[in-house]
Amino acid sequence: MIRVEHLKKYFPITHGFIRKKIIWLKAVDDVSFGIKDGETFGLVGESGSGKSTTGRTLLRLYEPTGGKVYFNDIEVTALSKQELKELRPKMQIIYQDPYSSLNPRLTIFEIIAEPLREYGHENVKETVLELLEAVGLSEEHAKKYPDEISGGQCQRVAIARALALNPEFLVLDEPTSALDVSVQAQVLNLLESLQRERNLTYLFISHDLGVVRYLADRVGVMYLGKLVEVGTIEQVFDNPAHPYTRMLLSSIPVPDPKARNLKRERVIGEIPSPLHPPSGCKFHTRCPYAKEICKKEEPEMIEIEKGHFVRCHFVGELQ
Amino acid sequence: MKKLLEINDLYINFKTLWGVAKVLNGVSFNIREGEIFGLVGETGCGKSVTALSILRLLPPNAEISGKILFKGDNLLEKSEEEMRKIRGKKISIIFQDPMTSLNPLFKVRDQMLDIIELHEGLDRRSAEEHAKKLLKAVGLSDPERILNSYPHELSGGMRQRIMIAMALSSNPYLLIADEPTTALDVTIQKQILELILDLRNQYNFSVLLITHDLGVVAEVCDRVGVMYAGNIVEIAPTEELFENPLHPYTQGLLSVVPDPRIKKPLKPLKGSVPSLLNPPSGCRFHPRCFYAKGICGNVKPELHEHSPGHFVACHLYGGEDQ
Repeated sequence: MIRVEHLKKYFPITHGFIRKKIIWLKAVDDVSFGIKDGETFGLVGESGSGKSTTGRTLLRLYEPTGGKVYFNDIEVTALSKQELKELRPKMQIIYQDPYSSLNPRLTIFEIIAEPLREYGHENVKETVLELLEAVGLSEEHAKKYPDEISGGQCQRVAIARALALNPEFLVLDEPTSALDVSVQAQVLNLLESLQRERNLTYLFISHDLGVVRYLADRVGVMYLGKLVEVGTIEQVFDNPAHPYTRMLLSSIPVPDPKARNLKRERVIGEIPSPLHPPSGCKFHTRCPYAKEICKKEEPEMIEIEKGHFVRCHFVGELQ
Repeated sequence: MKKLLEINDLYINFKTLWGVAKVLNGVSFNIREGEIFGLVGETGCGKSVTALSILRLLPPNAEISGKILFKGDNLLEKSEEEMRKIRGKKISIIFQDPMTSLNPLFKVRDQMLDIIELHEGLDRRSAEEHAKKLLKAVGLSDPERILNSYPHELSGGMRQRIMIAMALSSNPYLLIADEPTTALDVTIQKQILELILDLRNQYNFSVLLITHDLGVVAEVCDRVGVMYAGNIVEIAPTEELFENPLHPYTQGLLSVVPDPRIKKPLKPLKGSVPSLLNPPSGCRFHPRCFYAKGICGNVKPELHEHSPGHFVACHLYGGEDQ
């Protein structure tokens, strides 16, 4: 359904005034993956890895620097502004902070009605009430303003608004990161049941690997603008092949004191600045297995089993 | 093990424009020497207020009653002068956001040395020696460069390491860590948690670790208190709490944490956290509790010892008022 081919997004950073110097920040650097109909594809990584930029660039909220995005065989990256507007209802996004993504001066009703009116929908009132019910809110919420309801309820409103035009594909950009765990669970269950009822396809962006394990079918791990590992949830979580994936997985605090994760695998250093990324394999500065070749040559994506791709020179040789 | 800190029946109200917020509703727990005690709960449950009240850092509109005994002395009866000798010297605190805890206008050197000179009475040169030793102890290998940096030149993980170094500069008995890793990436969080564990093992201070993350609790805490809407609803050794949670809220909390190792269904609690301006009567959890009965809406359950070391405040388990 979604096909991303060699997607690139570089941001220019200018230095100096008279002798201007431009450095390119490669936020997304040659990323390729596909999402099947009705599937949830998780995108994980630390802050600055380029996962949010990937989500926004593939919706063309940012203009890509290079590469192609296909949505049901339509080349999104080749559409004109007008054509893109016609496609927008099919592709929607939900952001992390529910308060700042809702207009504080509109009632909940108006917030959900806005896209319907914009696209010339009839029966606006009925549709809004249906949507409210679908996300577990009631008619009484319709008259309120965003600051009168809780964070979890705001996120439900954002979901209702995204669903208003019957989309097929949703980008969920850290949709539960600002919520408490008990509310997070409610929203995750809601997203799961909406996906089943409406046959939605999700790109789920998160730094929380527990949440990704819960919701995603397949997952891609990003590091400094590159995908380093792609596979099914079971392949990546139960059998991680890239040293970075292993480091990430062994860093998560597990809610079970008998399985203390600390001390098991050493974690080295911090994510380098994306303005000055390391040469060769971008992970070599933190990799416990790095050798000479890793500093010089960037590894290719290799398929180690069906559907499981890894970008590492020594894949298969690592224990 | 001896008790270092004992909080008894702590009540805190805040006068606000909208009425009186009953933020702590009779909180009691203790921290033993050398242990890491976790305080866990959702936003607004009162865990940070509890931490600030220990150092008497609450705003003037707070009304406090109860006792906070530190090495036997009630901190609530201390004068401001006496408190100043305790803060940062005997009890230190580190916060969630290391950017806002460091002054952006001064180099790390000035900020660290000022504190060390004040607390230890050292001259500038010996203070600098001490600072370098501390920075090495928290895993910063190039102390000279760190001391010459402004906070914005350093990463979040490095800034938190500096905060820990400053907090430990005068060998405190108690380190209060208020969500110390919440703003950090997981790989950095892991390093900071390991650092706190290592330093505790080395210097044997106690830690009050405040967090919303049950994973963090499971990784580092010796004992845990679970807070809900201004009450401690359960206290137990960490393994016991995760294996045998008694309070319905603890059970609910444990069943909504997504586990990265395996996909299991999440069973969310109904409803949401109540407003503290007008909290529910009796047990503050009863409107969301699956097991609530008549008494729960009327009588506040007291914390009592259900099995050795395992305390719970819930009418399901009886208690002295039944």
